[in-house]
Amino acid sequence: MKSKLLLISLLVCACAAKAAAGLQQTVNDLLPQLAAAPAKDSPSAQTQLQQLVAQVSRPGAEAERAALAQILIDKAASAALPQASRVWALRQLELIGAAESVGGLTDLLNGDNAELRECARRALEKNPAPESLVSLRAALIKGGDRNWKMGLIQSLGERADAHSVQLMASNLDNPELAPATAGALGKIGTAAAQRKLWDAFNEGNTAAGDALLATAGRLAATYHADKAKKIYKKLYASDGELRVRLAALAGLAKTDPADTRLRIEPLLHAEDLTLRSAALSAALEVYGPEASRVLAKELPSLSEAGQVQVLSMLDASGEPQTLAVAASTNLTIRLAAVQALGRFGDSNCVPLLLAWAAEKASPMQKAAALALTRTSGAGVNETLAHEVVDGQTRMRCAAIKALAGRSDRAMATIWLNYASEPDPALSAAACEGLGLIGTENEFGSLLALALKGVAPANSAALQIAKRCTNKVEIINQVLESSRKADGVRLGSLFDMLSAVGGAEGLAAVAQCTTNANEQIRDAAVRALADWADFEATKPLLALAGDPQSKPAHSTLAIGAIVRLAKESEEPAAAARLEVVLSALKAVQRIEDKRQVISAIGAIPVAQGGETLKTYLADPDLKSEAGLAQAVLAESLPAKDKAAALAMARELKNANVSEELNRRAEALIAKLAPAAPQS
Amino acid sequence: MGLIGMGLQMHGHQRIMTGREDVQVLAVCDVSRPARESARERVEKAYADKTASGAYKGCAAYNEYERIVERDDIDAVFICTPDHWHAMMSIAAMKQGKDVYVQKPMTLTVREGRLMSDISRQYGRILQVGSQQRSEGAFRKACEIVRNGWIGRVHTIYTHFGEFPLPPLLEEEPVPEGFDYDRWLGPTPWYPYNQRRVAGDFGGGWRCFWDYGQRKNGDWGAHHFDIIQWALGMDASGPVEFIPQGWGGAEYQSYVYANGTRVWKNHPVKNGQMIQFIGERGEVLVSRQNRLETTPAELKTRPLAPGETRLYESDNHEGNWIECMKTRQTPICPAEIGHRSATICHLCGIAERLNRRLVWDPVNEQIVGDELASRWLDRPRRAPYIL
Repeated sequence: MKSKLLLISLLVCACAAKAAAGLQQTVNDLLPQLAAAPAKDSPSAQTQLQQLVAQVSRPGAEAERAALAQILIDKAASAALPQASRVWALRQLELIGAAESVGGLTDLLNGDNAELRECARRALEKNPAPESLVSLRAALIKGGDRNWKMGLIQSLGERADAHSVQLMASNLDNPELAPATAGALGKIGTAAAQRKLWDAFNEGNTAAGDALLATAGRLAATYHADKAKKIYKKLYASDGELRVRLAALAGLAKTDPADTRLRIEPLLHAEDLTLRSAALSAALEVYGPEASRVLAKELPSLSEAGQVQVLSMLDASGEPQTLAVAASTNLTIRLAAVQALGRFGDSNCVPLLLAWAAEKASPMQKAAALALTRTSGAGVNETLAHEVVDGQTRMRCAAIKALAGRSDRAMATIWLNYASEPDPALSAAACEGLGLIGTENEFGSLLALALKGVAPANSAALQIAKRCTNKVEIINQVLESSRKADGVRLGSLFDMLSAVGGAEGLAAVAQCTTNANEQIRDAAVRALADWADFEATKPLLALAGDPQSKPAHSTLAIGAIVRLAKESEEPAAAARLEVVLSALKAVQRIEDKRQVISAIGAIPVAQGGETLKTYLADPDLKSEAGLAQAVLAESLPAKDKAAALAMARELKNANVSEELNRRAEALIAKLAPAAPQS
Repeated sequence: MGLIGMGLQMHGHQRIMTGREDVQVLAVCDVSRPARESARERVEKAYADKTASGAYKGCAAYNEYERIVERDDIDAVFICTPDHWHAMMSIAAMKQGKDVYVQKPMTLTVREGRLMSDISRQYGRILQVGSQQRSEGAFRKACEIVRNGWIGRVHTIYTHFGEFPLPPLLEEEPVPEGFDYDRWLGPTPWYPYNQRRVAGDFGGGWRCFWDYGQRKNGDWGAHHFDIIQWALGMDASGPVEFIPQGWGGAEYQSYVYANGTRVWKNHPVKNGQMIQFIGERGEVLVSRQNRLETTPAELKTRPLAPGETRLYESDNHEGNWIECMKTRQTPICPAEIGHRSATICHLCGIAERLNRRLVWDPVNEQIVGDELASRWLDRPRRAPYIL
């Protein structure tokens, strides 16, 4: 068994030796390239070394890590290598250095080369070996300029080196080093470090207060709340800066809730916003979920500004007090109360909120209406429903809007009845509500009302059409209604088809463009011309190319095709160009042709240039063609540079106008700069 | 208010701040003399244009941010520097009782984030991270749809934001007159000056270098990871696993939450959108300029019912910060949220550079079972620029 183990050990050693040799060779190859002047493969050499470092730093690769770290420290120590390579090697030791590299790093830390010295300090700061601290301490004793000492103090602080407290403390009297020293002592945080910091704090060293807070924070986070509490208490009771004392109160709230509770109340009544804020933060910490209940009790006795602050923090437990202050004469307090009720108010709040929501438009009215739509308290929907049936008209209207804002569909059928009521306010409110929560079930009735001239019903139906899921049902209802509608109403009916959109809506409208009824035909063409989807270009092209079409309809169709080709993000540019070229073949009037030519320039596809150049000599169209060609050439992507250049040259040769010549020349100069004169 | 870092990103903020009636910019700060002088002129001109005399002087221009932090008449600082300065400046300002707006990503390292969040809470300061997508309606709606389960359990998320070119090895160039290069580098390691290293450039510049940030992870990633955290309700936590591209044959980099939801980074997203949430019952696609698509389509206009999760509403990220400074309420993207989102940027970068899977404990904020990877959670700092 022993011999077997010995064999395995020998094999491991052999493998490790082989691996180390491989690493050595790789590093030998890479390091000179790191320092070389910029060359094509330099970044790759850096990347390769970093990858190597990453690879050996993986868990379970300790032997490889140690081997590479040893190689790197040897390289960093070698004066034969360029400085940049040595620096790069040291940087890697920040990431993988351990005991094997401390000796080499210490030599560099004590050397004359400032850059390498700094790199060694950084690497030692990250080096977990205890010997690294000995080296850093020794360097601090040896001394140096301000920055050097500051760096060493920082490194020792980062490592929380308890043995360096005495060594560091003398620097607390040095104004240049005192803040760094206090910071480091704060990180070390031992009893000895604390004593030094208290001495400094008592002598007016402001950084010492912050450092003591840091120590206390660390103690609290590591289950030493009692020790932390003592620091916080002492700081809070001190005559130090207010900012430090309030920060101590925040710490005290975490570590000694009972004591903090006693301190909160007087601060809550302070005039100073900062003091009140500190008290509120502390209250949240010490009372936890009970904070709202406790703070609500204080509400009546607080200043106006204090009330506003507390209202923003309350939950449902503070509803009675919130309702009480909602009657305040101060608008800011009333608004804050309403916003609070919008978070948690229940049925008790509805009468008050509804009364405000039913008033004329004002910030208060807006806030109350919003609060009613948002609050999740119990019984709100039921109370609102009661108001819808029983209240005064303005309250009924406000209640309908609130229920709609709460997506409550329970009363939709009743609202449909209200929509046809003679009272215009009630009818409008019901329609507004149905516009928000109505479905296909209410659409037909609203459509019928719309055809009778009830404008809010039209708007509600339009809203439902926009979001409906059963498009076919909506389309059928609109088409059915269109048979009975007069010319004035037809337009809005087809607007609904536009709102429905999609293939079904489009097909229905396209079919109506050939309807025997001229009014229906006209309304359908106008709806089609306003269509938002590119798919509409197909029936629009048919319309534009149909010799039977009225000239006005053809022009509308061309205008829509141009708009959709220019503005649509889909389909791809080539497909949009194809449609525009088809439109060009279909157009009769010169004005329409100009529009289509301008659209070619707006679609960044080189093939468009082939068509444009055929019009550059046309006296009626050359201006539009030239402008479109300039726009197109300027907008072509980099891959079409040759095409853009050719277009610019054609444009220049065509000599359409001085302005276009200038644009062409500018583009030629940009794309094909003249060769430098020899 | 004091403005720090007067480069490209600050221009818009500066206009907004000088345009507000409730803000007075008293100082600007930049390590480039021309940049800070020109910023001072812009600020003074903005105020001069509002005066009857057409003249205004009263904006200081500093090289050192400490000059702003030590002024008692300044209540807040706006920080738009490269990432490696964010924590140091923010912490110094907060300790001195100032509120802070800091650009995303909030930090350079994970540990900086924990520190900033704790200090913000302990010192009672209002800190807003510049993850302004939270203040865009479409992103909020997308997150509410996901959060309220309207598309069922979300199992997969795609986000795409590309990659910067790798940083080149640069030749040393003379440092321009009036440019404090040592201070630009700040806590990061010293390198010879080259303009391409310090360039503020949305297409790259200093953002290409790992020394100053997490490359695209910390650039666009900081925005999109932040929205994903918001949507999943993970603002106080984070993923548990980070897998680099190529690990186990993975075609794309990803990270995974404890419930199994996986986020694929740089995976193509449908319709060229920025983020795609895929749930068991539907999808949400969302981008800037309020581009929002949902399946089913009606989700994007469906109102929230009482009792459903209603997320923090802000339609003006800077304005929200200013309001919160006045009321002392928590802003929409406070330090803890910024820290948790930045942590994802950092861990994506670390996994990518180590080329191995990392297991993350979001409660204790530690990498599990990988001692050497844990060293990457913070970086040594160059004196005198220490935390």
